[in-house]
Amino acid sequence: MDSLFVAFVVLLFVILFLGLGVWVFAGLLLVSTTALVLLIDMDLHRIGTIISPLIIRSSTTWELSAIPMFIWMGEIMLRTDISDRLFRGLSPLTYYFPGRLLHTNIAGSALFAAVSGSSAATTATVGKITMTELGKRGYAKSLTYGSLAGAGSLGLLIPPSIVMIVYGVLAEVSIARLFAAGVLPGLMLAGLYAVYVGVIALIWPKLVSTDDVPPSLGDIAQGIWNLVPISILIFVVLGSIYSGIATPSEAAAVGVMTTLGLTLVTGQFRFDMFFGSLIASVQTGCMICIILISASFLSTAMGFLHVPQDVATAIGAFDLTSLQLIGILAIFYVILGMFLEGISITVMSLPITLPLVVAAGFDPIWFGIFLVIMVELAQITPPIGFNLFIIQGLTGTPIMRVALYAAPFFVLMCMGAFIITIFPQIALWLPELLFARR
Amino acid sequence: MILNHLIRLNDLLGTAAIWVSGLLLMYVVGHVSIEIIARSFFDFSTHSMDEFVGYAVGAMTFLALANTFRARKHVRVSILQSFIRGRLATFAEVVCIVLTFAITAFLARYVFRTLARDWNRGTVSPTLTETPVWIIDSVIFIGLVLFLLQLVTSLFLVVRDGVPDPKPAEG
Repeated sequence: MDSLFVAFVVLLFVILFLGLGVWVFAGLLLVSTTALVLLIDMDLHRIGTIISPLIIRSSTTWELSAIPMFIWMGEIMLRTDISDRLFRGLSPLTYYFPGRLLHTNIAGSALFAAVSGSSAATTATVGKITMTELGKRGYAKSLTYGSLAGAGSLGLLIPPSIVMIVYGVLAEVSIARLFAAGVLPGLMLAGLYAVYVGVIALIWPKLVSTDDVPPSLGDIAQGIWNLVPISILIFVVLGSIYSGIATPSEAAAVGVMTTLGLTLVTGQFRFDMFFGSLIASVQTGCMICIILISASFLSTAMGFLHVPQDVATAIGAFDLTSLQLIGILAIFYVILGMFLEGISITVMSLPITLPLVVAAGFDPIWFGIFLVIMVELAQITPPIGFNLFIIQGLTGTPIMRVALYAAPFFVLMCMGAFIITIFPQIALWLPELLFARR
Repeated sequence: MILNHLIRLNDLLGTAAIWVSGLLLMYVVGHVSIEIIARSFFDFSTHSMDEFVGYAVGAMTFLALANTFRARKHVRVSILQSFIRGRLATFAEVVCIVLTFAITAFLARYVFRTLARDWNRGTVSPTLTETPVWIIDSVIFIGLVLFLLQLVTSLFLVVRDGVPDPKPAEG
C-alpha cells in the first residue's frame, strides 16, 4: 500500500486547502506546490521554473476561447425574451401530454441546452419564466422545482457543452465527436424525465393544474412560431459544426454573432444589454479558464509524484472487472460532486481516472459522456449544487428542500449513467456514424 | 484614509483591466468570425487565428482575475464558511486570502523571471508572425500584480468590515 501513500497525502492536502475555503484555482496550485515540496523534496526554485512557462503556455491555448464565447451567447440570451418565447412556444404543444406544462421545463431545457453550453445558464433561463407561471397555475412545487433541477443540467450533455470542451482539451479527444456523443444520452435523459413526470401526473392528478385551457390550432401555430428564434440558433450553431464550416470552438463565435444578429432583428439590442453580458461572460470565463490553467500544473505535479501510475497499480491489484471499476468511480464522483462543481471535478480527477478507464478498455469518448452525467449529478447534490443554488435564488425555497424535490431526478440520472454503461453504443453510435469516413 | 485611497486605486485599475478583457473577448469573436468567413467563402486564411486568439484568451483571463475576485465569482468550497460566523469567519477568510496571495506572488515572481529572460533574449514565437513573447508574458504579469493588489485590498476590507455574503457562481 506504500504506493498509495502519496495519493493519500495529496488527497489530504486537497481536503485541507479546498475545505478551508481557498478559491479552487489557488487551491490547486497550493496542493501541487505543497505536495512537490513535502513529498519529493523538490526545491521551490525548480517548481518556479516549471510553473511559469507551463502556466503561460496553458493560458494561451486557443481552444479555451470557446468557453467565454459560449458563456457570452448564454448571457445575451438570458437578457432577451428567449425564455419567455420558449415557454409560450412550448405551452400549447405540451397540453395533451400527462403532466402538461411541467414538460415545458424538460423540453425547454433540452432545447435551450442545444444552444447553451452551461447548466447554470439553462436552469436560470428556463426557470426565469416557468417557475412563476407553473406556480401561478397550481402545479406542485415538488415536480416543478425537481424537473427544472434535473432537466437544467441537460445543458452539459446536449451539445454545445463547456464541460465537454474542458474534457476534450484535457483528455485530448475530438470535441466534435464528444458533442455528437452527448446527443442521444441527453435526449434519453430528457425522455426519462418526461416519462417520470407523465407517470406521476397520471397517478396523482392533483399535482398538475386542471385550469389549463385546451389550445386552439391558432395557439399551436403561434407556439411553433415562438420557437423559430431558438430553432435558428440550434440550426446555425450545430449546423456550422457538422457541415464542417466551423470547429466546435469556432462555432461559439458563430453562436455569439447569430445571437447578436437575432437581438438586432427582433429589436432587443441595447448597449447596456451588450456590455452587461460582455462583462458577466468575461468574469465567468475567467473563473473557469483560471481553474483549467491551474489544473495543468496539478496534472504535471501528479505526473512528478507518479500518482496516476500508483493509483492504477493499486486498483489493478484488486482485479476489478470493468463494471466494478466504473461503479467505484461513480460513487467517487457522487461524493466529490457533493462538495465541488463540475469543472473542478473534471480537472482534478482526470489525471488519475482517465488512464484507469482507458487501461480498462473504455473508449475515452464514452468516458467523457459518463463523466458529464456524473457532473450533472453534482449540479443537484447538496450541500454544493449549482442548479440548487439557482432554483433557491429564483424561488427563495431552502436549498435542502429543492434537493429533496430533485432527488427522483437524481435517481433517473443514475439510471441514465447505468444504461449508457451497459449500452455504450447509445453514446458512441452517432459519432461513429458522423465521422466514420473522416 | 490610506485604505480609501487603496480601495479607489484598486477599483479603478481592476475596472480598467476588466474592460480591456471585454475588448479582448470582442476581438476573439471578431477574429474567429473573420477566419470562418475568409476560409469558407474566399478560400483565404489569416494564418494567425490560433496564435492571436490564444494570446487574447490568456490575457483576458489574467486581466479579469482581480475584478472577478472582487465580484466574488471565483468558486470555492464554502462548507466551513457556512458554519462559522464573526471573528472565526474573519480569521478563516484572512487565512484563505493570505494563502492565495502567497501562491500568486510566487507565480508572479517566476512569470517576471520568464518575462525578463524573454525580453533580454528577444525571444519570438515559433510561428509565421514571430511575435515577441515578452508581450504576452507582461500582460500575464500585470494581471497577476493587479490580482495581488485586489487581495491586499480585500484583506483590509475583511478585517475592517467582516466577511461579505457568499455568492454562488456558474457551474
